[in-house]
Amino acid sequence: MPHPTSDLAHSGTGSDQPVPVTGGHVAGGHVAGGLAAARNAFVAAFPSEQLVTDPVGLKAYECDGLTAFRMRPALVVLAQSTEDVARAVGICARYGVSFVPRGAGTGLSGGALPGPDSVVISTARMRKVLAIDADNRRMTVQPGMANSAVSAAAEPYGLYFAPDPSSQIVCSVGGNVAENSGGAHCLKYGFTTNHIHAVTVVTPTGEIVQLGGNSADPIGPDLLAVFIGSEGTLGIVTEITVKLLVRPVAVRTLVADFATAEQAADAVSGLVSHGVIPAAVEMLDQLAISAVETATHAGYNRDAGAALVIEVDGFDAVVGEEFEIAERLCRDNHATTIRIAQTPHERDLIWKGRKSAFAAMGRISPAYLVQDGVIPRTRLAEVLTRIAELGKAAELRVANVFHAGDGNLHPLVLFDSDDAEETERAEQLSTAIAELCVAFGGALSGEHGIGADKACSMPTMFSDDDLDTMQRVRSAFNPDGLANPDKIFPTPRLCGEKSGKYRPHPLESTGLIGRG
Amino acid sequence: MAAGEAVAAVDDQHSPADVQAAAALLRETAADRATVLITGAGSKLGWGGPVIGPDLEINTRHLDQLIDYRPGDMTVAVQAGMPLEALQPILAEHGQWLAIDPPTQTAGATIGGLLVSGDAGPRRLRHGTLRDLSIGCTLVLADGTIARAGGHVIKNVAGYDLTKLMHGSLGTLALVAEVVLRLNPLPAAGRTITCTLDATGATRATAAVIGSGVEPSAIEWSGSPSSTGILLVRLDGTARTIEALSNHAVRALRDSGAHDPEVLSEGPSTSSGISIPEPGDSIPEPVEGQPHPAIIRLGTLPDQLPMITDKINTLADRHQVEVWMISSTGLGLHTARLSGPVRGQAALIDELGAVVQQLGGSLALRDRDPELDRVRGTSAPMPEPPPATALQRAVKDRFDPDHRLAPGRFAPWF
Repeated sequence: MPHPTSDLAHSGTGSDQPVPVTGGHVAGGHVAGGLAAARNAFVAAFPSEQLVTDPVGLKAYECDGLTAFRMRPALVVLAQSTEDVARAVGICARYGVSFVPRGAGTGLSGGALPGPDSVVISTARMRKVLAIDADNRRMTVQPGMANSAVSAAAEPYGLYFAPDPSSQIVCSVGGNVAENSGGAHCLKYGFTTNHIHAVTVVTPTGEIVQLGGNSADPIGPDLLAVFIGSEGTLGIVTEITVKLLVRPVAVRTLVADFATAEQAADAVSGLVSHGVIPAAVEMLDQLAISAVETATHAGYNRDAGAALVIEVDGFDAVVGEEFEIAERLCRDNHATTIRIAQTPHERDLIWKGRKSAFAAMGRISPAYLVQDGVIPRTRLAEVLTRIAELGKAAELRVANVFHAGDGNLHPLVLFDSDDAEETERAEQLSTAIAELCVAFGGALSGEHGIGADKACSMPTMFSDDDLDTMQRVRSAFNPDGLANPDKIFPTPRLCGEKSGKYRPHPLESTGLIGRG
Repeated sequence: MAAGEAVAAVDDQHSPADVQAAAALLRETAADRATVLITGAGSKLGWGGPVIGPDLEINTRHLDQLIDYRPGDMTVAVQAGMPLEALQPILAEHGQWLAIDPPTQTAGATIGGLLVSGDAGPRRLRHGTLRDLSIGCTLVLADGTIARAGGHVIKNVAGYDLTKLMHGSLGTLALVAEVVLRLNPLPAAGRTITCTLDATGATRATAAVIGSGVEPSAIEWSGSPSSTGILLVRLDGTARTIEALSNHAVRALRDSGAHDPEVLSEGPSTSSGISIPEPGDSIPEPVEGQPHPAIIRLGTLPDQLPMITDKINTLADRHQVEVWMISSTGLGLHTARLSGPVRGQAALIDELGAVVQQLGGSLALRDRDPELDRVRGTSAPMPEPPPATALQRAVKDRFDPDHRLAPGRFAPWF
């Protein structure tokens, strides 16, 4: 079986500790008994090639791209259709067993981390295009299809799917829906939530429901919008009708080097306040450039303190004017050199370098943690300085490679995972950086999701009433709490009595989960 | 509006001065399960089912303050009762705007009302509705709970997107007290191109303009479904680019078969500096003594416009109803005005609702004669409840367990 974790996910070899597979250790006989009965029901309902039950096979499903958290699931179902998913969820609902939806497993917030005694329902085998309607610029696909495969299928019609997370070659469009994924070009085009017409979902009670449809004005509260980004806690998406855009007529890309990250940040603020909304504005600091160049030789200048990648697309006359403004603003903010991509190949290389930046960290560090906080765009320089100070105080290196145009940071805390003390320090620094973003009026996550990773930080951003109100939505879809429990929302079990500060995951304390 | 008049007679009216006062009012009236109609400017009270005898009305007219405008970040937080018309001039001073242009703007439409109704305008083609432009909100639930979601940054996946959940809720889930909005640069120059086309030609021309890469802001077709209408294409850009954009779009229109594309000279600017000839202006006023016309809203796939106009045409003939339509042809959204005997309007809606539902589209009822629902025996716009109804009802039950907020709005479904 192919390893579902992407090669873009960060390093980490995982624990080889044996992990109990059955539910015997969990208090509450109902669940344990339910699991045994559910297991029989799965074996009766699915052919053996659609079930993973052996410890070696299950190991591949212990974690997603956040390899620090690991837990072996009780069982994995490899669904091939909406009906398969409905049958699997139905069994879980009948026996009170929790389930965890999983796409390509490239998520970076532990959204697909199994719970103890949980069933993983994988949509990775559901990769078909169900319908292409070029006249209405939409396509219906199964959720396991890779993000870039959607655009590839639309290419013959001159159309494409706009969300473009860096993991787009492997990450699934179902995962994009679950996480409300963004990517480099969401500055101009918006996020996954702005590019979905309809979804078919299996609700946590096992019903098949369509949200959205052929009308842009469906009647009543927008459940499609609340489902997108709900991280698998409201059900499993099994069919997706995506909006396709017309390929822009013109695209121009430049890389501007700056002596400092702060100067690059000032150029970004200048651009935004100048009324230009490029398709993408990305930043790499010196450490990130060095890793990227070592890994990909994409042509970034190792001597630069920071580099901005600016891309403008659209109608050619408009692109020409906006590109001139972008160049001028870079110069005004002391860019040392500006390199303009002359060929599509050169442009591809620039993006290849940028999009492989996380993976490239493996070249300069044994392990890293990535954060995903968002800050108001005008405060970039200030926050970058503060992050550098925090890194210095923690005696750890922090690389920055991120979506500067929308203020979505991706600080990468580099550490040695073999050193327990340093690992602890890295986690504290990473959490401190996420919460720093909230303190600057921002958000804990821009596109990776809260998942298991940041649930305990949610109280720094939301009050109990805010979270309770979100829980009302959750209980409407998921009355028994079986869909992806222990994600998004802090619980005393997960975070201790006083939530808001980092604590080891309870499974970690009991030795049930290992660290990458 | 007729349906609006039916509910405007609520005696017990309140206009809380702040979020806390609104929460206190809802909390205090929760014990006796008082039913509540939440209103803003009142420009869309006739949308959906009529609200059944609300015990009190909570009006957001005093929740009209600008909370926090950050031009450098291109975000603004406002109280939900702020009229769009009051907000745009403030933003225009910084060369920015909230990128919606709803026809109800001149009637004082508020930000909160625009969010819960999904009312946008022609430029929805490029910029979307407040579903796409809202990044955070403060809600007051029926039990007085104050809850926030989202935030002040334009990219944010922390927690459920309750702001977007409000889109389309028409005041049935919560009182929207504050909204944080994402802004756009105000376009420096614009052009509107007009041409004469029937529904089939308009559909083809729309695809051609979108496919040409000019990124049009709006494409609207208006007319009677039985004859040719007018297609308007709106382009926004800068002084340096607008001619090229407009020439390119004219070429695309001609290539698609439009024979008379003409670039209009700019009309008078509104306070926001944005102007588009408003297709709604051309709708004839109702005649005194005649039944009130009904406004219906249809959503279909964009290329189903010719099929829908054919169907409407047939039904209009059969039931002696006169129909005027405005379509956002790039989006498949159509607003139709039905004039004639209420019985004819009722029959047309019943039959059209079934057709549209069959197509996976939607039909919604807006302003209409109160008699219309009596003749039809329901305020349900389509024969069957939409697929999401059971889940919508479940969300409603948790947000407003006593069904105090706008009872009847989505009757008989929830």
